[in-house]
Amino acid sequence: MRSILLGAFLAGALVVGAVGASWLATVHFFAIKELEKVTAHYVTLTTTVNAVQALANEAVDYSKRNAAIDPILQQYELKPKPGASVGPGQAAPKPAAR
Amino acid sequence: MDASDPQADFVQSKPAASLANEVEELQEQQRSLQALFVVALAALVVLCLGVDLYLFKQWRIAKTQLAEQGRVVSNIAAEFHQSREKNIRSFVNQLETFAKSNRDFLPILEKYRPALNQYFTSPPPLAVPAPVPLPKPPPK
Repeated sequence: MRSILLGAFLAGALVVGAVGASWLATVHFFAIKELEKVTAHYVTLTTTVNAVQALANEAVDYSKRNAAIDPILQQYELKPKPGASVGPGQAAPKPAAR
Repeated sequence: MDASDPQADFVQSKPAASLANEVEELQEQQRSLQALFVVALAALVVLCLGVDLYLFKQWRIAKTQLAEQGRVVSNIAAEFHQSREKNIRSFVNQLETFAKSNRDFLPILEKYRPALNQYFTSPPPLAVPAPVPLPKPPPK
């Protein structure tokens, strides 16, 4: 009789544990999915910024062959304006990182 | 009890002492099976609790990471949309206008179209098909 009661108690505990595991697996799955979404958003932003940076670098390279692009580059401080010297108190234009 | 029943025949053919022994043996087997079942069930419960604990810890880690990363990414995205995006759009537009008058810049700009497609205003230029060579007349 004691063994039957113990068996029933253990079976009940197993059912509770299995339900708990299923619930935890579900919430964990959705948390990971949300995390993936956030990471994908971050990757998209980084890719865009890197692509713009690379495009700016190529435009600066191109300006060595064709100076007609210079006004655009100067407007975005990718190239110093003619006659403007970088003084000690003046911030230098941001170097185009590759 | 039916006389033609094989089980009844078997019971009747056995002496009482032997039958008692067999019943006791069966009871012993039943008890040991029950004990085995309880032990297996207990092991399963322990395993299940272990899985629960592991999943709970993983879920908490994921939740913490999500909160941290979500905050950082939303800050970056807000900063990007507020200041950088406008500049990027204007920069790409000006380069597009420039590429219209300087066709040698077009390949450079087109290289970045897949990554910056949402900032381009003009559609991609159609590729000029290569001239088809006329078939040579067969030698006579």
